[in-house]
Amino acid sequence: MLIISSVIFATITFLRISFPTEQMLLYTALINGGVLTSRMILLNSLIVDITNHENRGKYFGYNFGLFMGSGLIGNLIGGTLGDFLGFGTALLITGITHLLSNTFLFIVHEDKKHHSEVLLKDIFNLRDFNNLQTHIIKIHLIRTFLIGFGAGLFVNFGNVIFKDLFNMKPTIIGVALAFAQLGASLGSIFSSKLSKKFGAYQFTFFMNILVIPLIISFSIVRDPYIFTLLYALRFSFMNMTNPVSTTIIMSYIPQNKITTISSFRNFLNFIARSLAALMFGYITSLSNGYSYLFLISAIFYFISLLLLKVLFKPILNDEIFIKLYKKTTND
Amino acid sequence: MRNLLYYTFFSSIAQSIYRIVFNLFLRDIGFNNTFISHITSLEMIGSAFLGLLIGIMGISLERN
Repeated sequence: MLIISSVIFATITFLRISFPTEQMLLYTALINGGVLTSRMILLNSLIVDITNHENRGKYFGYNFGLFMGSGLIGNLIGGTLGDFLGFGTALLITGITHLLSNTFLFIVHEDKKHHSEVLLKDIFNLRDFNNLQTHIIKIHLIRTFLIGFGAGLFVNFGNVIFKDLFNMKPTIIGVALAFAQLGASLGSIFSSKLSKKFGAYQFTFFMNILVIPLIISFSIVRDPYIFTLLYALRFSFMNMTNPVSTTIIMSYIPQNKITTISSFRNFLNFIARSLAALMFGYITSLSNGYSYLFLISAIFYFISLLLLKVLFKPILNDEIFIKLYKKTTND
Repeated sequence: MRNLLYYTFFSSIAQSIYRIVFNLFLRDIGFNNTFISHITSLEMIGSAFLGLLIGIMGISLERN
């Protein structure tokens, strides 16, 4: 499946470069989005398949680290390639690299003993939750939608935003977004440690508060260096809180329902981002559109901050929550 | 496992180059933000539905 999705991605990329008509771009967008997302899910499944309980955590860690690191390198290379060889050639190189990366997959030995027998109604059965779990899941999904919408207004358009606001060259855009990616990586690395040090709730809440003035500042700041710094800070703060809140929420969901809830969460997240992406086009076509865009995004983050308080309220003194990020003696 | 990590490395580089370049490519060939946002929106819808489908398939596999 991974190889098929990679071949589809490369084919779509080649088609888009060769025939960049409106129809071609629109028709291929739906499939391409699915293919890009499926890669990560399938990759995680494959890791589960070829590892055991002893080494799984280690290899997931390596995989995540590589994913973050190569994302950073890709941002740097992408901008430079676009600048010096042209965007079409850069996309061609993307397609070829993706295709060639499959060479390594041919050597991976997959465990094919699985077979599917589970009924759809079992997967969508959400009646087995107690009141606390229902509360957590409900708020978690609403927050996912709100944050997905708030982020979707600008996160997928970082390259266009830097181009429009500062007329940056692609190489510099690549550097700016690599800087943001670095912030995101550092945020992920330190999230667990900082949560133990300051307390998971206090830390998550504080980081979520800080994100709001940062997003508001995007609508005011028009110095490219300060903007890039603030943009990277926003990425790191969000990546500091996401793993913590996800760990807490998943600890309250029955083991056999985690994948179901994660799938719903991903679905809502992408639907919210899809709607927000449409809004991006309309809002930025207005004069001062970018200022409005970031202010609207900040409103969504603010509502999700209020819901974070509601989410944590019934679990603050709960045993599971206290144990999760218990302070260690070294902290 | 090492081969899978190599795959992650190279395919992630390719995808992040794509993410940096694609919108700029569209802008370069004359499309405006409204059209670019439509393309991104469709990609997200594709991600939502295929992601859900694969998630369900994943659950089926997990329980066996």
